[in-house]
Amino acid sequence: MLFEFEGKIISGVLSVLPENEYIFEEENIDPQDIKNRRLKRIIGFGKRRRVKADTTLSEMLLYGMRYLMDHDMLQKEQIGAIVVSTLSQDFLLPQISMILHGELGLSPGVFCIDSPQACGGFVVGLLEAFMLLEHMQDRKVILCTGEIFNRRTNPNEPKLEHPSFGGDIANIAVLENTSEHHKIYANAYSDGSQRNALLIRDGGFKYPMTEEKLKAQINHSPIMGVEMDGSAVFNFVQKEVPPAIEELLEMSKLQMDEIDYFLFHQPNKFMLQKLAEKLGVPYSKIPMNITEELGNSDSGTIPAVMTFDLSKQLTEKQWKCCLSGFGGGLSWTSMLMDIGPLDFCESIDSPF
Amino acid sequence: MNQKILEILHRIRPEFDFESSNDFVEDGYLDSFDVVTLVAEIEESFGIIIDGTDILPENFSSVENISRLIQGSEK
Repeated sequence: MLFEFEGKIISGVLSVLPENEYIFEEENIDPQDIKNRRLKRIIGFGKRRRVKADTTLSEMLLYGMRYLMDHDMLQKEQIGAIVVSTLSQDFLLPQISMILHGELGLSPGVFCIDSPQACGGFVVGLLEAFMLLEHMQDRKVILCTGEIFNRRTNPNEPKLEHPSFGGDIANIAVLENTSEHHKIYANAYSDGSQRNALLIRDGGFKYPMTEEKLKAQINHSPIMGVEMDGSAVFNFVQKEVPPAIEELLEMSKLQMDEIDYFLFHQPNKFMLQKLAEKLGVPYSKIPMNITEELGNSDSGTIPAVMTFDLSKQLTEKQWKCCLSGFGGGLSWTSMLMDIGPLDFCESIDSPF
Repeated sequence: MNQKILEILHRIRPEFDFESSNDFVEDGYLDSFDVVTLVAEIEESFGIIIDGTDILPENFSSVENISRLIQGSEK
């Protein structure tokens, strides 16, 4: 499906980071094992942030929302809608958007929606937010993303037998209408026939979560709870994402080298290097250090790139950016838009 | 070339006898992380770039298939 928008911008992005950083060499049983060292170098294992046991995503988002309000970066009367794009729901009901609505004391006219999106969550959330902005006049849409898959199960977890690169984060992006007429181009595709290539089996009605399952997950996948057909997902990304980006360039009449930054979901460094080669884009235009610095946080990695790598650039001037989120579904959603100068683009440490 | 490929395979998974396997992936000698490591090592050793869409299990199932992939890759 193809989309075109006009007169809409991202005006600010805030990332809320967990307090504790976990370092590859310290949290693994055998970091000097040759296979682990190779993976560290090639895939990009490094540091990651994990929330403490019992933290919920809504707590982190509320922390961020209050930070924005306390620092006059957002007033609650300006909010027209809250879109939450995550798999890390606190409850099946109420949804996180309703928790935020209630805790912040927002008016009944504020539209709230949650969307259980995975790796494409930020870009899908932007699509939803831009559609809502058609009906918002001067009010803003708040797009919340992030995951807490990797939260500690208890303070005394054993060291890991298999390295993990999952990370936790919460992000808040503020979106609004503008009188500027820059166009935004996007496309979104789905392939449900490959839905089991990325699977979170436990925690739904079919296979409810138990304490034993949760403990077992710590040591069994690179991202807690996620079962992945690595080859299928890798090949899907390499095959589907480049043509989707070419399609956006065709729609916008832009050339690949006119794009300043490619802000892609960051599953791992190797996958992004291969995408860069396929697209013929220099590595310098595709930040690919988020898995290495913070961990792969699924719907949270694209805003993390903005706040962690490009904070200075995006608050100084406007850049042509190509965003792409790909993975669970399987689905792939891409967007071409101008970003900047943002009112704010920063990350804060939280007590979680 | 085949000897060099075997040396790389042994470096990555020294515990396996690759010469006795008909399918490295099916036999569990190489998982997807091993394939990623293998790609990086091959690219460095042979001075080539392997296209992302060629990183499929079947292209890494035997020394012959890996050799074919190297020959068809960009210098």
